[in-house]
Amino acid sequence: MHYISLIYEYHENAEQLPDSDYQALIEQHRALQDPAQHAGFRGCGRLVASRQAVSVRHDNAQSLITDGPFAECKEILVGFYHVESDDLDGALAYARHIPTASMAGVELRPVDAGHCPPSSGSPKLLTEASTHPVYALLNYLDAEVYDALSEDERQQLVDENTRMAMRADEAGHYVFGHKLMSTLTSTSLRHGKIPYAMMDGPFAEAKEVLLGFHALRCADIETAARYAAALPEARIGVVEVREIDYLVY
Amino acid sequence: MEQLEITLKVARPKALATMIRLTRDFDLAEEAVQESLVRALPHWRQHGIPDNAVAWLVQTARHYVHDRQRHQRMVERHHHALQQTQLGADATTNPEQHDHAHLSDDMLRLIFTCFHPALAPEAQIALTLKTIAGLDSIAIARAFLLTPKTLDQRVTRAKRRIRDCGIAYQVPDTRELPERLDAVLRVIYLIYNQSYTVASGPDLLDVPLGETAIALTRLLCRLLPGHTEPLALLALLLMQHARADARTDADGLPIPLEQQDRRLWQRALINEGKVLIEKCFRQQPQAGPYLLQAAIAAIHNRAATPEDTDWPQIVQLYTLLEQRTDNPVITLNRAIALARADGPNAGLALLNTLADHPAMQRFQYFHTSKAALLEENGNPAEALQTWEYALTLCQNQAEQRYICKRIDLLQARTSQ
Repeated sequence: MHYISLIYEYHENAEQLPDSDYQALIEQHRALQDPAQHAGFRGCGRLVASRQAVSVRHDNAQSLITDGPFAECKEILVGFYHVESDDLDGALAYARHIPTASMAGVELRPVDAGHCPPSSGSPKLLTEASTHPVYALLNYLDAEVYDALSEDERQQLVDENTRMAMRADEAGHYVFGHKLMSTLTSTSLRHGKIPYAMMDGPFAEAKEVLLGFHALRCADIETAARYAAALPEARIGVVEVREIDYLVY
Repeated sequence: MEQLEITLKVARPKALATMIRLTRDFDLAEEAVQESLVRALPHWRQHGIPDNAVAWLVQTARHYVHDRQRHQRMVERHHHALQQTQLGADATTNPEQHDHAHLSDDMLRLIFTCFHPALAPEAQIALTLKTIAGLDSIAIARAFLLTPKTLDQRVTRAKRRIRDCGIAYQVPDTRELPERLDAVLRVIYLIYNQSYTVASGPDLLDVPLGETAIALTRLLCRLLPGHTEPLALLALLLMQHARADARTDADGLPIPLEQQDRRLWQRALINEGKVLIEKCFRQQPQAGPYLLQAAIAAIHNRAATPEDTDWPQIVQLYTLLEQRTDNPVITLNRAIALARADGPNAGLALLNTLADHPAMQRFQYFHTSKAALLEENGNPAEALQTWEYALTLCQNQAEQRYICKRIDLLQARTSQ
C-alpha cells in the first residue's frame, strides 16, 4: 500500500533554524530519500511558507481567490513523504526517521485506491528539470461533510478531480496527484515531550481536513489557482494553492 | 453536489439535536428545524451560506418556537416543556456558543436517546432513520416491508415513550458508556443487515440503508475518538459493503461469496477497512467481536480467487469469536470454514454438534449449509431432504428461488 506522511510544523519554529542545524536537517532528509537505504521511498515534496499560499473557494457561485492559507492554524503543513509499505507498521517505521529538528509532528494517511501513484522507477529531482515552478493544490473539506457524502457523491468528487487532472495533463501541466483515505484512518506521531508519541487520528485539530492533493507545473500561481477553481472541493470546501520548492519523484 | 445541499444535509441533524435539547420535544424541534430549513434556502441562495450554518438554523428555529409561544397557539401543549427549558434564558442563545464541542455533545445526546435500550429495536431503527439520517417515511417503510403509516406510528410511539418514560436527553456517563455504545452499534449493524436482506428481496430497493448505516458509524467514530468498537464496526461494514455490487445477480438472486465476481468488489472500501483493522488491533489487541468479524471478511476480500482463501486462519478467527460470544451461528460459520480447510466431513461433524440446538433447527442457513456440505460429501439423498426442509423455513422470495434451483440441479443430477 501507498502512504503519505504529512509533515506539520509550528508557525513560530518554521524559519528560525541556525544555518548549521539547517544543513544537518537537509542531510537527514537526503538520506531518507535514498532508495538504496529505503526501498519504500517513492517521493517527497517541501512546500513554501504558508503566507505565500492562495486559497480558492466558491462564494455565491463565483470563485473567490484570497491570499494566505485557508485557515489560521497553529500547525501548518510544510511537506510530505510518499512511501510504499506492506502495512501501516512499515510506514510508521519510515515516518519515525523523518527528522524532528523543528517539526511538530507527522500524520500518516494511506493513499486511496484508484488514484495514480506517480511513475515508478528511480525517483528524480523534479524541480530542477524545468523553468516553471510546481504548485500543490491542497484539497480541504470539512471531515463531517466528507463522512456524510454517499458513495455516488464520493465518486463524483473523484471524477471531477480526474477531469481536472486530465485537462491539466493535456496542457502539459500535470505532474501527479493523490487522493487520501478518510482521516479515520490517520495515525499521527507527535513530537512533544516524548518524541514520536503515537496517537490515533489526524495531527491538526481542524474542522477541514486534507482529502488529497495535486501537483501542477505551470507558469504562475494564478494559472494553478484557475485549475483549483475547477475542483469540486473549491465548491464545497476550499483548495489551498502553494508552491512546492523541492520535489523528488 | 452543491455546497448548499451538502451544508443542509450535515447541519440539519445537528440543529435538530440542539433544538431537541432546548425544547425537550421531538415534534416541536422537528417542526422548528423544518421551518428554519425552508427559510434558509432562499436566504442563503441570495446572501451566501453563513459561516456557522448550524447556529443560523438553530437561531431561526428558536425564533419560530418563540413566535409560536407568543401567539399562544402551542402554549398549552408545550407549556411544561418550554417552562422547563427556559428558552430565552438559555446560555446557548449566543451563536458563539454553538461551537464544535457543544454541537458534538448534542449529537451524541440525540444518538444515545434514539438508541435508548428502553425503546424496542424496531422503534430505535425507525426513529434514528427518520431523525438522524433524515430519510423519509416511505423510503424507510419500503426497506422494512411496512406501510408508511405503520412506520410513522412506530416513530410516534417511540417519541411518546421517550417523553412518558422520562428518558433523559444525555450522554451516558463513562461507567455506563461501553454497554450503551455496544447497544448502539448492535442496532446500527441491524440496519446494515437489513440492507443486505432487502437487496436480495423480491424487488431491488434504492434505499441507501447500507450507506446510512456506514455514515452513522462514521459519525460515531468522529464523536467518540479513542473508542475501538465503532472503528471495528466501521471496518466490518466497509468489508461487507465492498461486495454490495457482486452480491446479487441480474434477477436479484443472491450469489454466494465463492461465486461472486471479485472484480466488482470495491477496492477503495476494502483498503480503508484493512487500515482500520490494523489500527484497531494496535489499539486493542484483545479483539472484540466486530473486529474479529472484520478480520474474517478481510481474509475473504484479500483472496484473488476462492481457492486462495486462507481457510485455516478463518477457522482460527471463528474459534476466537466463539470464545467471545455465545452464538451458535458462529459455530455454524466455523463449520463451513472447517469444511473448506479440512474437507466437508470435518464441517459436517461440527455441524452435527449443533443439530439439537433449538435456534438452529429453525434456522434456514443451518440447513442450507448442511445441504451443500452433504452434496459435496456425496450424500445426494440426504442433501435433497435437507434442501427441501430448508425451503419450508425460507421467507425471502429470492432465496426460495435459489433453493429451488439447487433442488432442481440436484434432482437432475441424481436422475441421470
